[in-house]
Amino acid sequence: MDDTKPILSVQGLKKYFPVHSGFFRRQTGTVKAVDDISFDLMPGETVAMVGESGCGKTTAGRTILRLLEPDGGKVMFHGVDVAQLPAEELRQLRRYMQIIFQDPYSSLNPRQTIGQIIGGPLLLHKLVSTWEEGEARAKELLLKVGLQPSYTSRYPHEFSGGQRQRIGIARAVAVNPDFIVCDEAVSALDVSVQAQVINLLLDLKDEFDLSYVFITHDLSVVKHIADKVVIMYLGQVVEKASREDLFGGARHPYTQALLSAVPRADPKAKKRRIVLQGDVPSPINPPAGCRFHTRCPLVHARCRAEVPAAHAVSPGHAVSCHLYDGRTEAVNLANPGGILDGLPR
Amino acid sequence: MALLEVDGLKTHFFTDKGQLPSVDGVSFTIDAGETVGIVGESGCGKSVTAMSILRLIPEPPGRIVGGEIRFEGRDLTRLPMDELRKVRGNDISVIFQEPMTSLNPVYTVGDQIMEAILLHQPVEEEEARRIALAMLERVGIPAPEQRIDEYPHQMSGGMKQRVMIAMALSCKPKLLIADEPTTALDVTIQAQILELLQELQREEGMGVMLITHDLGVVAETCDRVVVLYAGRVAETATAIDLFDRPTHPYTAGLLQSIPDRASPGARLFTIDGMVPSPDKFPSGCRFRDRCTRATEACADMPPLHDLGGGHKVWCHHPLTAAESAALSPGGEH
Repeated sequence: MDDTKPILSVQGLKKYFPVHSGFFRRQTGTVKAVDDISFDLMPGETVAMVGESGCGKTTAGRTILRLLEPDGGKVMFHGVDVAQLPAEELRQLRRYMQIIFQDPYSSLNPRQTIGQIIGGPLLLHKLVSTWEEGEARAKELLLKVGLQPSYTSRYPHEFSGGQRQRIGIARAVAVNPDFIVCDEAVSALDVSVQAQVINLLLDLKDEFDLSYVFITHDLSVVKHIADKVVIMYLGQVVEKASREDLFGGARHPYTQALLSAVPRADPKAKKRRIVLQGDVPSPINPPAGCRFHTRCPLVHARCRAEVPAAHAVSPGHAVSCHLYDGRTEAVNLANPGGILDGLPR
Repeated sequence: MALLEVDGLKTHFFTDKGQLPSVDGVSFTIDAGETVGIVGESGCGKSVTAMSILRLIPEPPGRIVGGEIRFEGRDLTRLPMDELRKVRGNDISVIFQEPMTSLNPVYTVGDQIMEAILLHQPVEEEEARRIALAMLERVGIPAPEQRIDEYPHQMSGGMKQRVMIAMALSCKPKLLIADEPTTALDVTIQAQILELLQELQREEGMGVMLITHDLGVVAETCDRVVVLYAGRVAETATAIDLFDRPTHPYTAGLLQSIPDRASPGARLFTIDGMVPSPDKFPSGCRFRDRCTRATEACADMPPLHDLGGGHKVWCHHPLTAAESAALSPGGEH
């Protein structure tokens, strides 16, 4: 595999949902769930997409896999635009791109045995020719994810949340994919089980040469596993950086607030928490200009009028905020000094 | 005298699988003005303990089979129902995890807050509405005059949790039981809610029992911590002592498995397996099947080690001071 080219390149991806209301169910608005996002995933890399509920991270993940039809932009996978691919070719390509879902309770078919759940995709993609072969392969995979091979004859309801998540992982890696979208794959689990599943994902990444798109709201998990981080707010990317740059020198006011809001497991840590006012606005009528301006402590006139462009503050680190138009050093949100002096408010 | 003394509480469930000891001899106290964190994985008995305090355990199959719950010296487990009703929602309030399902969808939020006020306080409807309005304003709901006549579905998750807090605090309780109050919320909203709870607590001087599985939340908000495992207390200490010197192997394991304590990309420490269901609790120390330090001795009930300053551990093989120091964030590990 060529390690210098991205395995996946998302370019200006858009996904809009129509909003209908009234007696005739006329379209009365549009939810711009994903509005022009771009990032590259290199072989062997983990890119984390981070944001609060409603920011469009899950929709983005599903649109990348074309489980939802995109409304604009490109998803280049091995040089092919997944967004334009005819159905049959897409079906063949699916083998190389898999997904692990958040809810291990609703993502496994309750009427299928574990053997069928894991072996089914193998048969579908003609990687095995009989159910018996699929079942045998399922046993090997169960062993790999830390479960007993004999579980192939059991049903999903017999397992705990952590075990089901392992089954979902076995199903995803069964067809030997190149990359996996992990949609909040560890969010519903207790800390000790979460640690087990994170370790499993790290091990499988090495063993199967996987790349991950990791969708989560949990920044401590991101800090642990991500190589690159994409911070989303209301359908748009506000900041993009390597893990070191993001956790060491976050630029965007939203990223800084998000990082400071994460409770740290150290009662003696003295820190200034930046508490944002208000809720995330509705994505049906997102604020004009910078979408974060309604909650931003450093809002000024330009933010309300003009959509901020992505400004590069260092190689691989881009931030969409007017404060960084011509500035690269971080503005400390907790102590901004006279940063807004002279700017029209 | 402590505000709340839970003393040897045993809440068992009587089912087809036999008598299940979900909470089995739990003791702790909460003083006025203090926040006590109850920590443990799912299935450790955190919520059953909380429900037992207000006697909200469905009976059958559940029953409090032993122990006392003394609130201001009165044993709640023996209180007649009409006396208990005066305590519930008035002296002791609860906030549940799911603001989405614990509000009634067919009443306005104002009606729901006023109901508790009218039930417990000698006021007329007009005055109750005034109190409800003041509470909504107090918890930071914008435009409360308009919001008070809205229905729960018109509000966001953070907003509903604020309504729940307003409702719980409308009668100025002496004790607030908060069962995972921020688990369903985003981090920026969680920060707002935790800040609000701490502010209200400082002003009103109430005791808070905070049930959570998030050790970050515990570190930031709690004065003392009770670590539960399989229906029993494993370790209890002040928050500072617990994070500085985790002494029970279970506490140490929980702290070590948090990703932000490990170096990026490294394998995380894990506790093998999971909390057994109550019909499969092992004899003696209930953690022994998952414990790396377990020996034959662990088949007997674990002894109490008192480290002083209220730091107590029930374990046959607790960590030494040097071992736990190596785990703390400033330590070598």
